[in-house]
Amino acid sequence: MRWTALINDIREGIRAQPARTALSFASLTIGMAALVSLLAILGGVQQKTKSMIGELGVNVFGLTQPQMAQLKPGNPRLSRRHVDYLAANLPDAFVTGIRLEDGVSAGLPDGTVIAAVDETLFKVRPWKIVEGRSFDFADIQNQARCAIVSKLLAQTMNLSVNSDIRLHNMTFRVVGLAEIESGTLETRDTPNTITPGNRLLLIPWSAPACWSSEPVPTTTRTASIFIKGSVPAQFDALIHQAGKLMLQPDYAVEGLSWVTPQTLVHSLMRYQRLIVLAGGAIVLLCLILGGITLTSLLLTGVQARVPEIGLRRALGASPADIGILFMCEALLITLSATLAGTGAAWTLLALSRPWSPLPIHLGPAAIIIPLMSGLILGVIFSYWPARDAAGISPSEALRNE
Amino acid sequence: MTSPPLPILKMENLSKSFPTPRGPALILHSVNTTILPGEFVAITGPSGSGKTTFLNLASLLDRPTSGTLHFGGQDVSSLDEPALNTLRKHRIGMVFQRFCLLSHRTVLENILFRFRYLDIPQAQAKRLARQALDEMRLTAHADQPVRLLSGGEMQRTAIARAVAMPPDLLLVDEPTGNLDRDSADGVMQCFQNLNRRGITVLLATHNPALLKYCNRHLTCHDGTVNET
Repeated sequence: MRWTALINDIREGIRAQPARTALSFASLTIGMAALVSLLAILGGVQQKTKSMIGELGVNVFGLTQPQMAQLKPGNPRLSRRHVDYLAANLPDAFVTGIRLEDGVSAGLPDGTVIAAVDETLFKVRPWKIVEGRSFDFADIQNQARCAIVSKLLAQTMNLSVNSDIRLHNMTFRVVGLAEIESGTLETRDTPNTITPGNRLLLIPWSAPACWSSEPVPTTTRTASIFIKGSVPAQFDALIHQAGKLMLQPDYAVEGLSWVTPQTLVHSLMRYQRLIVLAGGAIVLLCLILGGITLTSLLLTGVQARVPEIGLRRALGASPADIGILFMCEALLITLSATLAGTGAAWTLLALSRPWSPLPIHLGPAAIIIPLMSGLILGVIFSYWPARDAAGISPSEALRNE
Repeated sequence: MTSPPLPILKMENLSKSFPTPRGPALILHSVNTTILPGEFVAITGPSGSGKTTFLNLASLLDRPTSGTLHFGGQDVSSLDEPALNTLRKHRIGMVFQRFCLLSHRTVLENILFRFRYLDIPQAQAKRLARQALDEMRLTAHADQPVRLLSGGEMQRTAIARAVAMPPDLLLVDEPTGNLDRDSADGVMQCFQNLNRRGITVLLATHNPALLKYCNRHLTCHDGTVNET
């Protein structure tokens, strides 16, 4: 009987002040929705960091140079020469270079990336050949007309191992299907840094950029170079050594960007800090505003319900019973506002995820933290009114009748 | 030879003062009175004479400043709050001048509220509440919100709530202050009936017309309580 009676009392208490209750509920709901959004974005950033590091590969770092249009004419370009130079001078590492080609003008579906690579690519990047084979030294040496396609491109173009694919006037034989996770490294944060995408076609490095029979010169622009250290403990030393090599006068290039796990984490941490500061301040303000409205609701409730408090005490309620009643009312409001805010935010974030410019991750933290916050807010903001109510002398309360 | 009944309420040299900015204000002093089971006692006196304070002490809502207070033969002056609470909820019923009903609830729900802090099974509480409804001739209004009742019906609801769990002592503060004469008579007859069933009634009132229902009269004047 106690529990049902308590629930009944709480319901009655809330019904007695519908407008104020609705106001508190609304402000707390907004606060909680803001909190969930903030957590989802922070979760998204964190996940993106992990996914970018995972995509970069274990003990892998990359070098990239802005597009030609962004470089001053005459500036040295990152080229195959640099790949060979680094490979020769970094004995404990695999080095691979990637040259990007224009997929659309080659006759491939929009959004397809053509990357010219060497035989070491699959030793460096965390991609997998799921059918067929990778390139070998002979393919590169002989300028073999062979290709590896991502599974998605294979599905789109109905390709399989041993299918033929035409690029301009040349026919390439598909020798392997690769599984390439949805790329996040090539987002707008790191323009043209790293090439993987859902639709990817890989051809041997030696296949000419101009689609003619001419061999590819070693000075042909390379979009990016990836290096994988074979000794994990010496990874930092490897980056340092590569940095020194790239400073040599004959090989120095302008505007070189280094993509290391540290740079990825660092840039995203900065992003995360900004979100926490800006978003956190808004969330905090919303929640404090909601909490103050709740306190005001409860304080007014205590004043309006003094005779009821007196009656309850006359009927045997202890001061603790009175305090618990007001605290439970507050908790019901905060927890239902938490559920409503969380539900609304989850729905909106899930719907807006496909076109949201911010990374969004809706994980358990986006439920547990708001619930805990709702609970803590309810206790903190109802403590004072509940203590006031519990402290009312029953005889004084009944005199106010 | 039978021993005399144990007093339901016994006050010995009782006083009660309240703190004020100008020092303690003495409201009651040297109160010596005994109320026996089955009595219907009226306490009258002008406003501010200490009637309500007397009722608050009798209902164990307030503690005396000095003196001793016995309830049902037990010295309750030094009992702690939970013990007083237990006595109050099991043995005392109260009826207030302005009824003190929960306006959003129905008549039946208001009466059931008597059991809110008692460990009584819901079915038994409902049975007792319906019984009290019947006795106060309120069965037809059971599911009606109390705000729609007349003054007399509201007071009868308040009485039903007070006696749904039959108390040893029923304390009544100005029960007819807000009622017309017919309703007041009806309400007083209810108290008389309850008293005939053995419930001790202590009634505080301004109205001398109510004295005819009582079998004993106390007067409260300048903080003292005297037999009339």
